[in-house]
Amino acid sequence: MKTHRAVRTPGGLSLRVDVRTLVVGTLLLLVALTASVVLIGTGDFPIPAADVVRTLLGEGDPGQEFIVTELRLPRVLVGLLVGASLGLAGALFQSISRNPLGSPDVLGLGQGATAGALVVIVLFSGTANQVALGALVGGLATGFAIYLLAWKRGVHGYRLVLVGIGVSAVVTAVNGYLLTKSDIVDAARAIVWMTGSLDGRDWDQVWPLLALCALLVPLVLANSRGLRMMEMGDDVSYALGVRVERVRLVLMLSAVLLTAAATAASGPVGFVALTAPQLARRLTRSPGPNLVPAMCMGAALLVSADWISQRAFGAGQLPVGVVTGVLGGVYLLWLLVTERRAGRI
Amino acid sequence: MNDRTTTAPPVLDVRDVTVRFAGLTALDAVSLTVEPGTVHAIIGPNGAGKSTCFNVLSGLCRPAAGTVTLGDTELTRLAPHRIAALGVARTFQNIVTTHGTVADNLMLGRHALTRAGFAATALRLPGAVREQRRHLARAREIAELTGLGAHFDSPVALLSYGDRKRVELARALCLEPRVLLLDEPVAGMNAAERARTAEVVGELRTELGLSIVLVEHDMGLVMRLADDVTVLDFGRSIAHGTPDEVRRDPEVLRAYLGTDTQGEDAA
Ligand SMILES: Nc1ncnc2c1ncn2[C@@H]1O[C@H](COP(=O)(O)OP(=O)(O)O)[C@@H](O)[C@H]1O
Ligand SMILES: [Mg+2]
Repeated sequence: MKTHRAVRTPGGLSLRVDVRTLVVGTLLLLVALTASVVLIGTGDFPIPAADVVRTLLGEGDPGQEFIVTELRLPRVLVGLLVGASLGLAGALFQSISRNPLGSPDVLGLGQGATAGALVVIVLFSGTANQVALGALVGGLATGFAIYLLAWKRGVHGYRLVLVGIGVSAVVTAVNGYLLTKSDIVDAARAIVWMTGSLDGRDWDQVWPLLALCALLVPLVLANSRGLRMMEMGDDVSYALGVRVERVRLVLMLSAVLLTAAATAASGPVGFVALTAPQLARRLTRSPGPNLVPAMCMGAALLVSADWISQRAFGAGQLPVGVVTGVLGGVYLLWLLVTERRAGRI
Repeated sequence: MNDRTTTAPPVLDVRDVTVRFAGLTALDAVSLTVEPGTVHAIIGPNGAGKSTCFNVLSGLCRPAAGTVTLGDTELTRLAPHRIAALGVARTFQNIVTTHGTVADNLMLGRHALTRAGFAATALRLPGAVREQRRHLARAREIAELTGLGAHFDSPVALLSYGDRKRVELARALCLEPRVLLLDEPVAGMNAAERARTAEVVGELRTELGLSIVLVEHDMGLVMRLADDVTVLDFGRSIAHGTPDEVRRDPEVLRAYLGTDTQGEDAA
């Protein structure tokens, strides 16, 4: 049962707050921030957490300050933003398709972005920024293709998932072809990019992603009540005055943009978009899209995974995408097994 | 709070509406007029096209021919959310509520009337808080009006079938409609729940002055509540008149009452 409590504010207003959702969201945010501090302290030159905090507050010594603000902070910020974007995009897609498998990973948006990046790497040997742009374009093009193929008075259930799997298969084949066409240097670069990594990310990746999130997160949240109502079905939502088609278009486009931008910044970090919303939902035990908890969960997951990979294998050894891929894969199997037991698959 | 309810609702006029689904004519040149402040029942056997007619009225279904007008406004070309904004609210044959309490569900009904954005609400800006409080107070009033006052803070999932069905009715009322479309509001209810709902619908009409279009199989309820009755059969309108006139119409007896007289016995 959901814990609903009427919270009396000084104004005498009785506000319905889902206390559990609030607590879970706050805790996840704390986990993400704590992991970030620990992660900033981790590396060839370890810095105690207390010093990290002091440096972040602008009171550290100059040597640490350089390492923290120039080298490690932007990397962690990219991690937080990528995780939050993927968590939010996953929650949006899953809510719109009303299917836990309707996430960007399964739909092939990541593969689409990879195709764009590979084209730039293999055919043009482009710079890092050009690769990011290629990934962005690839992701958007894939999103557009899925939209055209799956749209038929709304996209629900397995239709979107099946179309996405088809698109994903085609794009994966294209990616394989591009790799075989590449020379050994480009191929190595491509493979690293394709695993999803935060290595060497700096402020150049932070700003565009931050700007996009600053634009899209409020836009998405402004439409969240409509999205929650749409989980009752299009007809009921229309009857209650929701502009269903418009809300869905805005939210799908936002989700595609968030996924493409996140992928452009870090490469395709697997399974965060799939698992974060589901984990968040299980923690809050609250129905509805759970957008904010999914966002916090995504950020916490990604930064924690990056920390695990650095702790276990040393800095720069194991890209974060490998860790999220393994964790996410195990989670997906668990999801399939439990859903099967519950008789839903 | 809402000036719509103080003025008489406009006339709802359905003219020669035809709807086809892949060869099947679900509605065949159906016409009916809902006079302001009256209860107009649409009856007919299963598959007669009653729900389809509601879908046309609420904009979910575009007719192949014919028009629907509310006052001077033609509804047939408007998007469903625009029709809802004009004051046409409806319930569905099957119960569709969201999780959470009765209050949560009713507040979703206030969606279109809520001006404050998400950020203003989340940040508890004074304007948003005032607005929220007003909506909540109105939702509570509506719950009381529909006999759900005692359940306002209860989870919908814990309510009885009849109460859940009335949550939908209350949610539709939260749109502050001038015309209310009720698709089988007492279907599946027991006798006590039926009586309670019939009473509520009667009160709505007298207290809020709404026009109500009612699809119902329960002939007793129809005879008691309706001012006008339109009878559909296989998508055609076969009779129209007061309940008494319709009850005696030979074609109606043959097409409808002849196949299902148990409703009449209940009356
Ligand atoms: N979306 C649809 N597509 C195809 N046929 C439909 C659709 N909706 C309703 N119908 C058909 O139209 C006829 C009228 O249905 P409906 O309006 O639901 O009847 P009622 O509500 O009077 O029982 C039925 O034969 C039904 O099968
Ligand atoms: Mg029906």
